[in-house]
Amino acid sequence: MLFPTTVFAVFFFLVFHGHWALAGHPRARKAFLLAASLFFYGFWSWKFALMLLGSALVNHAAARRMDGLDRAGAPEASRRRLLGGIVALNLGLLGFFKYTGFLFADVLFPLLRPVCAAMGSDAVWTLVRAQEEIYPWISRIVLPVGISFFTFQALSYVVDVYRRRTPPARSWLDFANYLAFFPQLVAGPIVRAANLVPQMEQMPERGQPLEAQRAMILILGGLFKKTVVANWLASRLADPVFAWPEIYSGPDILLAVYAYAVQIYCDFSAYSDIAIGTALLLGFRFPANFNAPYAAATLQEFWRRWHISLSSWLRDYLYIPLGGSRRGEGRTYVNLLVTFLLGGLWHGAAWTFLLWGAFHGLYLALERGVLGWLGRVVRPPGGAFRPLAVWLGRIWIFHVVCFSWILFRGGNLETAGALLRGLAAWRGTVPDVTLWSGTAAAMVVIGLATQLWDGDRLWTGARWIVSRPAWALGAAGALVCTVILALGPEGVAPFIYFQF
Amino acid sequence: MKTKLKSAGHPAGAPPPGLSLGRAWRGLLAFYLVALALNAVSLHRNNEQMPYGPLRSFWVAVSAPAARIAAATGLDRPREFLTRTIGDSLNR
Repeated sequence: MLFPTTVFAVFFFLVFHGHWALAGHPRARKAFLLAASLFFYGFWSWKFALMLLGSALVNHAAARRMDGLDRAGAPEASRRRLLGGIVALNLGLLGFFKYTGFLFADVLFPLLRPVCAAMGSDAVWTLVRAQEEIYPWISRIVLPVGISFFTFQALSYVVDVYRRRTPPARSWLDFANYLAFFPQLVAGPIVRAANLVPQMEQMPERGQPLEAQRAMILILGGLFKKTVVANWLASRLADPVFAWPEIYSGPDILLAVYAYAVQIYCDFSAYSDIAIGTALLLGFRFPANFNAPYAAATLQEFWRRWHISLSSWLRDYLYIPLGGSRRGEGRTYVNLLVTFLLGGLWHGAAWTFLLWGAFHGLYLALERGVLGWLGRVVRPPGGAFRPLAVWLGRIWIFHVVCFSWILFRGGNLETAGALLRGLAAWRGTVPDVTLWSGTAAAMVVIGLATQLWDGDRLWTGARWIVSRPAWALGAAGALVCTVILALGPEGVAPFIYFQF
Repeated sequence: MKTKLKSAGHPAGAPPPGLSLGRAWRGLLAFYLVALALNAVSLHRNNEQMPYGPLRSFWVAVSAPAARIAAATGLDRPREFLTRTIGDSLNR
């Protein structure tokens, strides 16, 4: 079930009414919310909805057992073994669905081919027969939508219980609602247990003020970013060029890369905004997931502004346990590289995602070293030079990130290579067939400008609507929604991050 | 180097004001009714393009009356106008 569809609008209308009508019956309300979330997920596949339910049961049971062992004064090793087991189970599930095909088709078989060729024809035929057996089997593995997101949520829960940073949920129902909550189930934000489990336990009260105006602005803003901006940039610029880069000129490839940078921001932040706004209407609060990422002047700052819930997850559950920056500069660089390699792999099972992660890890290490050295030998720019330095940094980092998007979106090494060769060759455009146009430039600029809405800036500027009658706000919202739908294309394109 | 753009998240200080549940419900209802009125014809057209089957029959039956009313009262015209003037030229 996709957000910007009539089916979801009807679904949400029913859930809103049921959720608030049952406010006086907490247990029934929690069961209703879980049923709604499982229906939302099961709309795509009821089998995977059952798998999600099973994951909730197993992870919560493990967390309760860890807490029980702690209260009983059991040795730390027993808790550590249990943690190891549940982490392995979660990662095993993710690995099976997401990485089995990559492991066989892109790692194992390519490695074995030259080895078997050297061993002789018998070995080659054995390998051929193995491939004939395995390829049909792995082609039947379907990636459950959102598995990367809810697996990371489950992992953060069990690790935080192990670290004693959060108690286990009071009941299985509360944890299941945390894990399966439909607004953020399939594409985040990755909400921590310490944030959402207490909200699920207490449930929003009927008497509490609902941030409905802020929710409306988030949802409509997200709808605009996705329907008008992201879809246009994808269909007119990014998709054609990334599909066949050889036929486009250098300037057209550059425009397509800029377009993709804006498309993925608008697409993903739109989903996060709609998720946050939808949750607000049900009385739940999520943290922000984006904060004008292309305003960053360093790559480190970019990762504090882009997909904040994932970058903070990687920091807290990977980078810091590896040692963070506490074990010397050399080890810090290694930790950065490993963290971002795995971060790249989280996005997808392909060499291009690994390269994308490696690029970010290496650049962050280099940036840390260079900026550290510069800080010791050069005085930071002051006065009138500081804004210039900031803007130069922003332009530079935007292009560094755009370069990395070529790897991310390229899909395979051949396409990424073709795009880079096209940029390097810089073949001139033919005026009548170039992709450059006023509309294209305007869409890219508008998409970049929507970053100004992040961090509730749009809400801050629109507080004057607070005192307007609710029916007038609703009607005005419907008018804005109509304009957005009229400007968008027919049909609904799925959100990019659904594939992760 | 940090830039001056303020942090994301909720504005500092007092929590943002909100609506009572009753007011929020009225706002949501107004949203759905006005959105349906203005977009019923387009919605009905989309439903008619669904693959044939019980689901299509259901949604077409649901959207047909609203589409008839919207077409008769001219409520579909603002969206048609916007689609013809800006939407089609953007997405053709």
